[in-house]
Amino acid sequence: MDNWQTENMKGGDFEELYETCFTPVFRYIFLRVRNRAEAEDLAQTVFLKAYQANPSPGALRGLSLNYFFTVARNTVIDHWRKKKEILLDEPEAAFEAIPDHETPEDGAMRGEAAESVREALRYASQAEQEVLVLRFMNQLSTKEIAAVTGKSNAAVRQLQSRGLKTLRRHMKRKETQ
Amino acid sequence: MKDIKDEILIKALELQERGEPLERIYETFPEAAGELREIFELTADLREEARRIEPPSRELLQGALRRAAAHAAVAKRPILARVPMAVRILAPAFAVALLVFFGTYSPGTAPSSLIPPPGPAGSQPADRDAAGPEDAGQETAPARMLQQAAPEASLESSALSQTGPDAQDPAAATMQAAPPADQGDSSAGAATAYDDGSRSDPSALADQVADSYVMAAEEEETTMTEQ
Repeated sequence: MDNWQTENMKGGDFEELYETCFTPVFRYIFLRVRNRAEAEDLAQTVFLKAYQANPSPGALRGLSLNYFFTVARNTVIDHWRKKKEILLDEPEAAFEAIPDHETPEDGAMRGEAAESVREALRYASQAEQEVLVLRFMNQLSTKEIAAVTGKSNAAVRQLQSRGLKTLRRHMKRKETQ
Repeated sequence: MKDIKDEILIKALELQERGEPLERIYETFPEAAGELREIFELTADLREEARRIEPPSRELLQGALRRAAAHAAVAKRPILARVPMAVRILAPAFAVALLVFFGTYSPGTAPSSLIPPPGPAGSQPADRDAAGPEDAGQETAPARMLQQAAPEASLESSALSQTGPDAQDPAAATMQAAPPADQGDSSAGAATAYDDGSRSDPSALADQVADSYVMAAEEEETTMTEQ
C-alpha cells in the first residue's frame, strides 16, 4: 500500500485516478451494498464529495486512497440511513443490520466458486465483512483499515480473524451438504 | 471441525501481512497448519472474487468530475448571480407593492375622517338630501356650536337657557354635579359654572355639544310638525 501511495499517485492523470482510486472504491462500495447501480451512484458521490472538500486543481491526485475509502465508508452508511431500513443512531450498530440488496442479475454474474465465497461473506457480521473486504479484496494493510474504520489495530486483527473463521465454518458446512 | 485459536490465527495473519512465506508460517504453527492452510486458501478466494468484479466505466468518473467542476463554477459566482432571474425581478416588485399597501392603509389616516358626523336623530340620508334650506341650517348648527365652543374660554349661558327643561336635562345635571376644578367649590349651579368666563372644562364643552345636538333635533321636530 505504501509503494502504491508514493509511486502511483505522483503526477496522476485521469487514468491513474481511475485505476488507483476509483476502481478500488467502486469495488468496496459494490461489495458493501451488493447492487451495481447503487454502487455506481455512490462511487460518483464519493468523488464529488472529495472534489468539493478539495476544490483546488489537481488536489484529487494528492489525496490518499485511505481518504477515499473513509469518504466511501461514510457515504455507504449515509446511504443505508437514507433508505430508512435502519432506525438506529449508532453507525456501528447500523452497520450490523444491513440487508442484502443483491439483485438476481448481480448474482448471475458470479461464477460458482465465487458464489460460495460471496455467500459465505454474508454470514459474517458487517464489521467483519468490511475488514475482510478492505484487507483481502482491496489490499489495505491493518494499519490503513484501522485509520479508515476508526478502530484500533488489535480490533481490526480480531475482526479479521473472526471473519475468516466464520467464512471457513460456512464453507465447510456447504461442502458437507 | 477443529477451530483454530484466535491468537494463532492473528499471529499467522500478521506474518502473512509482513510478507512471510506461507510455508514458513505453517512451520511456525505446526499444530494449526491444516486450519491455517484452509484459511489462507479462503483469503486467496477473496482476492480472486475481487478481480472478478467488473470494473466501473470511465464515463462514471468523468461524470463525477464534470459535476464537481460544475458545482465549483456555481460556487464561484456572486451570490446575486446564483438567484434565478424571475426572483430577482419579482422580489423588489413585491416589496414595493407591500410598501404601497401598508402606506395607504396606515392606522392614523383612515377611519374617523371618512365617517361623516351624525345627523339629527331619526333622519335618514335620503331624507336629509330631500330636505330644504332650513334643514341644512339646522344640520350645521351642532357643528357651528362645536366651532364656537372650542376656541372660546367662556361658555354661553344663552345656549343653556334656550333649552326648556333644564332641570330634567341630563347634560345640565352632569354639569351641575361636576364642580369647576380651580374653584374647588363642591356646590355646583349651572349659573355659577357658566358665569366664570376663564374656564374651558372639556367635559363642559362635551356637554354643550350634546345639548346643541338635542336642540337641533327638537327644532327639526317642531318644523316637521308645523309642516
